[in-house]
Amino acid sequence: MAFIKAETDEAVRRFLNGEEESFDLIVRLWERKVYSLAWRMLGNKEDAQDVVQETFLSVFKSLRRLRDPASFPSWLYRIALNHCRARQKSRAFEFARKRPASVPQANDEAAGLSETAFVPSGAAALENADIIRKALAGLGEDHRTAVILKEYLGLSLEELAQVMECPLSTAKSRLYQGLREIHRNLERLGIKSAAP
Amino acid sequence: MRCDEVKENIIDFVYDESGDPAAHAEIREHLRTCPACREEVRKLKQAREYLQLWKEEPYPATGVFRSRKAAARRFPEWRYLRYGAIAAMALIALLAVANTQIRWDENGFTFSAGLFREQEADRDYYTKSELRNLLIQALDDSELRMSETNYMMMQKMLDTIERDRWMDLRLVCESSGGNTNKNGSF
Repeated sequence: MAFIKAETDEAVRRFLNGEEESFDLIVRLWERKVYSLAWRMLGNKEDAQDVVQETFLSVFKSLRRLRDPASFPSWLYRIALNHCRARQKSRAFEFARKRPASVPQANDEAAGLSETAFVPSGAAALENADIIRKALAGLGEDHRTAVILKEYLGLSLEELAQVMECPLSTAKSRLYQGLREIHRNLERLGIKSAAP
Repeated sequence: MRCDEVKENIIDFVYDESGDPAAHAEIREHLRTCPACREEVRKLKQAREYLQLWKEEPYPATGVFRSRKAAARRFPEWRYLRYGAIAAMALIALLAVANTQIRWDENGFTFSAGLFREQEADRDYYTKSELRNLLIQALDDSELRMSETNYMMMQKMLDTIERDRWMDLRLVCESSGGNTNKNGSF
């Protein structure tokens, strides 16, 4: 991580000094993370790819206005999250759209949390992933963002607070609430019996 | 450590990010004697384990982002398109405010605009000039059909109006110090 940070700082500085070629390096260093964030937030590949595209176009356009190169990662994640929000709004996105036929249908309000107990067969990765996605979809946006940034992007608590532009205590609170809701949602979905 | 203090630090504990080993030791000590907090920590850790069941999606081998050159090429188009749209909207707004009238008829294309022009109120009278023109028209149209009496009456009215107009014009010129010749003609 420290290596990426040093390389990113250097690439951003070079870009700010007029070396546009260094943008290629920035993309190479960060596109997987942006893709991962978008994919976890949106739940489908096509939307995630579009968000990557739009995010780096926005970055290319406005990177010259970034005052502190060290703040690039949190700035980048904020841009990506904004594009995710825009995409969700414009498409009236359904989070668990591509669920397997064996998974019970449920409405968005309850975020797929049927009261009917659903016990996944064994540890089928696909089914488990789908249940996790549904459980995440049941969270409010702030809680979901906090959980995804922390669990899947590996941000520290302080970085989480920076990206979410809130005090550290608020970031922790969102994460705490998010994890509690996840646990509750998963229990209701019946994953308990297949718990690791 | 009390339960509320544990709750305040529970995220640092679960993620092991506090940087304060003493605090973690205190929490661990508290958990040994408090089933409620122990259950809370268990749920959070279990939620984290569940979340890891959703594996990372492989990143497309070909990459997603187009080259920087493509991005650089794309922006000027966006910029100009955006400026063009803004200019068009501003022009439309200006034309709307200016009460623009565009007409295409047998006389050809006419365009008129007046910024903040007052709407002409519906009138229920003719000006002297309009009345004069109407009378002249009527005299021309009905010259052969009307009786001598009517014709003379209309002619009289026309003369009266003409005289009024001239008087008005003279008054206007005199009040503004305008130039009239000795005969009073303009």
